[in-house]
Amino acid sequence: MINFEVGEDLKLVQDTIHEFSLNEVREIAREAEKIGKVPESLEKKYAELSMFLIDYPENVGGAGMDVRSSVVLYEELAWGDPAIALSLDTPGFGGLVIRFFGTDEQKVKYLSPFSDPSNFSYRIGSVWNRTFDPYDTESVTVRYVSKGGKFFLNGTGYFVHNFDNDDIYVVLALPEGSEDLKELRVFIVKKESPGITTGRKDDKIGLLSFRTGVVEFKDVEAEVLSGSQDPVKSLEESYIYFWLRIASMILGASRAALEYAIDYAQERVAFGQPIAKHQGLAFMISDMAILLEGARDYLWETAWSVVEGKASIGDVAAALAQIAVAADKICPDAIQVLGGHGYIMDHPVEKWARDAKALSLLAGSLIVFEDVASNYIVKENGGK
Amino acid sequence: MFDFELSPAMQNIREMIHWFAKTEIRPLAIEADRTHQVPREFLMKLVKMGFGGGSIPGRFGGGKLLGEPEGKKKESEINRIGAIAMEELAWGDPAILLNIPGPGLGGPPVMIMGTPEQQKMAFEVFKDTENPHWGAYALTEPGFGSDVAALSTTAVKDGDYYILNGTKIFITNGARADWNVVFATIDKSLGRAGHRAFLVFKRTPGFKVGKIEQKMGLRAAETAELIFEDCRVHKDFLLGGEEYYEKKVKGGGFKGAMKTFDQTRPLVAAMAVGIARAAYERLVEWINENYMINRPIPRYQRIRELLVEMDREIKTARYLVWQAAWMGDVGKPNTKHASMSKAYAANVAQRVTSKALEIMGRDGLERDNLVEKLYRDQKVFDIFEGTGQIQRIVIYRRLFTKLYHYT
Repeated sequence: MINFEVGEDLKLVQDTIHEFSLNEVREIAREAEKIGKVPESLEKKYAELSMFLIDYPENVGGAGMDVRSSVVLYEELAWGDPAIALSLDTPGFGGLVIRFFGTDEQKVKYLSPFSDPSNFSYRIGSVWNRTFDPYDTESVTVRYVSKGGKFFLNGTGYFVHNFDNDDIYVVLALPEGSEDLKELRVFIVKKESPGITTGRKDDKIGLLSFRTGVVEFKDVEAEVLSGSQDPVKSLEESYIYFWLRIASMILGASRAALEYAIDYAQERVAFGQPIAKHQGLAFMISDMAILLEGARDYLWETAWSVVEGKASIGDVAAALAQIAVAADKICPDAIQVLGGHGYIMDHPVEKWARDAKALSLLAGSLIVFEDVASNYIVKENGGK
Repeated sequence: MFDFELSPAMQNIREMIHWFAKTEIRPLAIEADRTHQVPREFLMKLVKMGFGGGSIPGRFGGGKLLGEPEGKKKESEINRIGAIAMEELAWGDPAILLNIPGPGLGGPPVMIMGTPEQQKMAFEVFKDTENPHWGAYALTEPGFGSDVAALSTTAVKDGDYYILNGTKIFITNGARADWNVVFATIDKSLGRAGHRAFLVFKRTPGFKVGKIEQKMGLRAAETAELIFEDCRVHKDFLLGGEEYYEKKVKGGGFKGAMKTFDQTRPLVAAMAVGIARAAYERLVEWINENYMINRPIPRYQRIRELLVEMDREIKTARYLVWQAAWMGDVGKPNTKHASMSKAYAANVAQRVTSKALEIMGRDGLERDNLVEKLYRDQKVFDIFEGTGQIQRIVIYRRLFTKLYHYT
């Protein structure tokens, strides 16, 4: 029955991560941004919480909870810091791809290390198409050839997640000369394989402690992930799970910004009273709060629909679009509440705003989300 | 853990009301808008179906309320079922929805503030199944809308009676209602503490109906002016009785008026969601009929994007409503969330109906295409039951916990 209670199990996750975010993540967020990576000490502490595989099945070492758990977890972790949240999700997009494309053997081999806290720095990098649009084959920049039963990769990966601090890469590739989605294959490449060159690290608007960059592949031998009967479906499933994570993180960042603005508005005095008493500003904050609350309700409904098997990638894309648009209002307005102080790095709001924007862009951008969602709306209504 | 599954009761009511809205309400919508009235046969059909008594508690002659908790264990579903039902009814037609016989917005204050005897008096009128009956809620005056503290209808004690003087306006079903819940002040200098709510029956001496308003939308719904000239109301009709205001509740009638909003605002928001959905669905139909065939791609692409935007905003509004209703059902303070749902849903209805009209272009002008009517109907949802601005005040007073102390 319609119910908005987090529930006992998830409350425990929520409280644990909130504590961790408050006491560990926030402390170190600026430092991590400065050095461009998450300090090892924090990785170790997070690994001890055993949250990496919270919504993965038990046979690969996961906690076996459904996707609602990750929605709650990553909102809370990103409330601490969005960039660190994305970095601490060490399986990341690549892990999801292995989950949906791999054979049972491959899943156990590459995912189970996450269940051991001593592998705190084990990471999966992911080399995907340039736009991150799930259906955009034209922007696939890596091609595969098969020679004598073996696969070899050539090309350059852009915006590669964990491009230089991973242990394995998950690589999306098409055959030379093909643009057919059905021919896509996903490969696993060991970091130390000959032919791999890591290029420059991306210097970007936000998420600076999450390392992305360029990786070149020259005749690199690769293992194909061969567990999927329906690659397009597996692709969509990987996106559904990843986009729900991204949406939760954008939500967490926005909540952090809103809460900060609410606190600040009650302290800061202008024209003889706290600025929260000035209605122009108070109304703005009310609107931010409405958007945030609505975004979470929508995200939760979508996550529940995914659990029930009722949600398509289009539904998830629509929810993500709603949240990205909400964040685009909440975060800049939070800066506005702080005025000049919001623009200065002494306060974290400008960082959360940059990180929220970067999350949306890294996951494909609003244009992609709305495009994917609109395809489904047209399909549902009998269009082509 | 959070979930969005409809309970069997919710599912049944949604299907039943959707069917009714589709087959009985929608076909009347445009004609009712033209003639500014709803046929009596239709109203009687509602009465026979038990709609009039649908929100009347069992102990006053109604059936068991749908979603009313059975025993102590089961949780109440009333607010959630109400929200689901309102969305479907408004989807059928929001103006006809307001015509549905029953206590209407007068119900909650009688239930919250009234004594058992008063509740019996108020709800007994709905036992009559030969005629439609209404209750109504009269708060707004010519001199104030949102600023309830500026209430100026007076109630002067004279022995066992209160003498009411003043004018109420914009009262939905006020003229034909069997009784109105009328708010008046015993002493303006007391501010909100001086507010009293009276149950005023139709033929009370000194009570008369003024003009019936002509409106932008919701034309089939009756909006009346009520005039009180030395209207004598016995103290038994003071909601809650005199001691209610002296001892039980600080803030008295004002607080009662505010408390009913926690229940009614999500319902009003649900209606706005229903309107937006109706416009969206009509638009999709229209696109399928007229547009997809041979139009140039760029414009079509833009329409698709607008559809996504409408769809996701409607869903967001719906879940905000459900959340506020759920909080009401499980007894969590939901004032902030009720206002959030109302503020957002009204804005969504505005955006969706407006964009739908723009997409339809000249076809949008036509009344027969329904959307122009929905556009006119929806505007007031950002005004009645608290304007969008009032909702935002309610919200920020609960966000700024260091400056204000509300729950």
